[in-house]
Amino acid sequence: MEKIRNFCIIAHIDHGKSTLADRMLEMTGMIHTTENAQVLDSMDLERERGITIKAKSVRMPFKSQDGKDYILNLIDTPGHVDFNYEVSRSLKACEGAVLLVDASQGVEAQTIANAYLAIDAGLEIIPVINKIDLPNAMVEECRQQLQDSLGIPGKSALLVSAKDGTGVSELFEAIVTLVPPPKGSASEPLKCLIFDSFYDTYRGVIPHIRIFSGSLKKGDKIMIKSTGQVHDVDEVGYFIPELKPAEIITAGDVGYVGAIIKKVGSIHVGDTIISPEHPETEGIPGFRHTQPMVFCGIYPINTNDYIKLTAALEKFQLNDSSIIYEKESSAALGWGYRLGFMGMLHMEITLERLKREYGQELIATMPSVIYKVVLTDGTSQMIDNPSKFPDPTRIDHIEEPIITLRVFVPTEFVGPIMALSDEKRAKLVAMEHPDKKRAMLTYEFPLAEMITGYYDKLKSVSRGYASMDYDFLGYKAGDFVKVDILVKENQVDALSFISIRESASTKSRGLIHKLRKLIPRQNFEIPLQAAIGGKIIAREDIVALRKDVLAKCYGGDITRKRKLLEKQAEGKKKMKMVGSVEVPQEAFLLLLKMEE
Amino acid sequence: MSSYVQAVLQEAREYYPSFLRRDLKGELSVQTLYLGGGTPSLLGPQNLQTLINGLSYRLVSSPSTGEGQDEGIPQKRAGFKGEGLRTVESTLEANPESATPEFLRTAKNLGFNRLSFGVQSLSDAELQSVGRIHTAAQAINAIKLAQKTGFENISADLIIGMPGQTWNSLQSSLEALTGLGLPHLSVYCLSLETGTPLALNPPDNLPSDDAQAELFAQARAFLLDKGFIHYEISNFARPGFECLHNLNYWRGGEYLGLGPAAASHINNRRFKNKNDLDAYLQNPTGQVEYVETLNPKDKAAEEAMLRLRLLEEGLNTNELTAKFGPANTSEIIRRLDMMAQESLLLKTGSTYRIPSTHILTSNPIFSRVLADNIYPSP
Repeated sequence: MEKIRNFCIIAHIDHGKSTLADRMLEMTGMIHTTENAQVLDSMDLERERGITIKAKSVRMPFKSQDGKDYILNLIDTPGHVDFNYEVSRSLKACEGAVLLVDASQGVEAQTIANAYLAIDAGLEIIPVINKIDLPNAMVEECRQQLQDSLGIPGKSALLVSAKDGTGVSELFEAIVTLVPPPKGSASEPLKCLIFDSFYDTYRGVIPHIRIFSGSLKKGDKIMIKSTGQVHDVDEVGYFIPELKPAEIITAGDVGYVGAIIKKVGSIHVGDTIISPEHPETEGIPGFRHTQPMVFCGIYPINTNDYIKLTAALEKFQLNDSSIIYEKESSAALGWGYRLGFMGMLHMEITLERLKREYGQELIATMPSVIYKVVLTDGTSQMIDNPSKFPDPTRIDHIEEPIITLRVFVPTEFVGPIMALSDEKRAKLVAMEHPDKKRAMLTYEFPLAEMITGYYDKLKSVSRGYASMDYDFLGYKAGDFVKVDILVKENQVDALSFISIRESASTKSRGLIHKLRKLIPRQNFEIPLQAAIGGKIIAREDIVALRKDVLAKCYGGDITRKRKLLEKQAEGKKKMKMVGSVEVPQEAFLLLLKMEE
Repeated sequence: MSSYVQAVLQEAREYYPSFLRRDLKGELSVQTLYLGGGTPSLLGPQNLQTLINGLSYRLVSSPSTGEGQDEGIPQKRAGFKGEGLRTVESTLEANPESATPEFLRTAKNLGFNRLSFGVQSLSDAELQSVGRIHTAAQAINAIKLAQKTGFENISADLIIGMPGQTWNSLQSSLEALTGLGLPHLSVYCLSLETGTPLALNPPDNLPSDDAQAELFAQARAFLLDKGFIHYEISNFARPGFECLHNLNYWRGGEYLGLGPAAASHINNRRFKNKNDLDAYLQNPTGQVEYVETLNPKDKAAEEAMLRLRLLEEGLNTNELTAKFGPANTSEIIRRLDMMAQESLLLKTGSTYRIPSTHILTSNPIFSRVLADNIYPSP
């Protein structure tokens, strides 16, 4: 155990975390070449978006200059603001963290957020300035920023180019020297942290574990602390990065345990695995319970696919335990699920992955935050779906979730960002200057405004230079109304939204106008209305379709005609019926894009 | 051109024997003959004669068996008399500029009893804007010449939505054609076919879909007022002058098509030749691009869709069920009834018709007739 080092790499998005991981794998002989391939990012989607979504780990042998052989376990961590929870789980499995800073970008919002998470978790921090090969590298500035923003001695930062390998050997040595070996004893009762898991069709749920004490081998029995379920271990092993079976894994190790856990939903990341012989062993504390911030409904396009969707979600949750879901039904969309996500990006990626990995076509409704509705009788309800709002006469007041938002930005963009944030009902609480060129704006910010396009706009007004990070702050009362959307007199529950009263009309007009363009003309006139209670606050009409006809006969080529019509019919399958009106699925994603 | 005629005759020899029927008198016959698709008048009199004589000769000399078929077609226009082939209606398509007196005379002598002129418009500006080489005067003269040659059953194509078209210009086209005593008009809405010069570079003054719909409604009202029947979505006729050949298409009937890109429907199979003239000339009998055999349910839905195009006759579901069996029509009838409830169809007894308000928006209705699972049962 003295020879084991468990560490992770933390960084702002795009600061080179995956490239560094690849270089380390290459230099320890785990992989032979990494041309364009980021091994730890195994999901296509991650590579496309350039971010790592899921924590993965890999075990690397390393021969140090001191002549001894070490085992280095690298635990990869997600790099986006929405995934703080996943980062925190991974950190718990480590004793040290490599804090990576892009020499051309400097310390950014997530650098700070992640560094604090690591410090709070008691990890040894190794500051590293990456991309020093770039012509615009600002090594000295980065050292100063580490010092000023985080109190980390900038002078001690290692200089690395993950791209060409410069400084990586020194980094290995630093990890061996600075990161403490894991504590705990192989002879004590078993205690493992589940920090990730994946589902294998043949072998069931495979938890990724960090063993804190005891050991595990084939034939052992394990117990899941929270549920008391007992399973027989049929395989243990390490990640190299693919699964490599081992005789035994012991305290300090990072690896996996296969126990034919077929029941989807029985393994929760953050849970503790213990031995059934010692049921009194305490669970590992300190794990934040998943708190979804953003919600949306998902519905199969074809109602018959509901069962498939259910199975897909069950599997999906195994690979991403931060997602929660529950059944819901919509008059317009039928049976579906309401999903909770850590944030907007998390939502977008999850929906994308659900569609890709499970082959599911989906309708996703517009996202909502969770409102606290305080009723006149003094009780309160947490409402994550606008269509579930209680009757207005029963409502005393409504509170919305507020986040603390930190925006890091070059000083020249402070003006535009402040203007943008003002539009979004943000309250500036602090403006600091970590260095001469940059400002950090701290806002109390309504989460609801965040999920309707703030991040994209932030990037665009700052030409990509702004970075942000957020924490949940609390709930705050406001003057909210629920706006209903009616299509040809039928209320579309999936389109209802909550708005601050003063902007309800403007928002409604925008929405109705977009709906008018999205819903194709049909055989009859379609009035589109927005209403608060019974009062119409916006209206546009879609005039009846006047021409959609196949005229000419083309010498009896009926097949051609039939195929054209069938193609039309195929298009209709992607529509949902609201009363007699065909509404394209895009309409249900409208509010997402409303701000544009 | 003569090699084309020979190719068609070769293809006919291959397919005719199985397509021929004996009528009640034991004579070989087809109910209708239609020479169209492009510009048959370009054949010239000699080739036309060769073609018809060739078809008729082969017909008579080819032994065949088969049940007689009589769908109560009006006999008053019976007329084609080429070498033993009996038809009720034989139509020749012609463009105004190539309909010479000699050609028309030849057609008449060969026994054709119906002409269809691609007039399109009687506004020179509109004709020019879509690249037509004939003028309004040529079209009128051709029709008059045909009438002088002895043709009574003459049809003209009119296009709605020509660049710059207004109700004024359309109305004068209609006035002129009805004034000439034509008993049949096909009225099509202009559609921009992908890849054509018009589609690639559409003129600014092209009437919008809404404007086309308005023009169509006005043209329809005009023709109904003149005593025409709107018997099919794109076709108007005086009573008794409906195009029997086209009616056969819409009633799900069988037909044989000859030539490149020609479509056929025989023994419940639909097949079509490739659209490749050179290949056709090389090997006229090996051009089938696809053969389609639908299962009875889809076949029934197809026929329902086709018959709904017949605005007056409509779709009789008792007849449909008699032909395909209740197992294959019950779902279709459910869909029809649902649309009747939504006023998308008119239902009288067991006959369904497209209401006049939905003639130009009939595609969504047909789609629902054809498609399964779009609107699952409540």
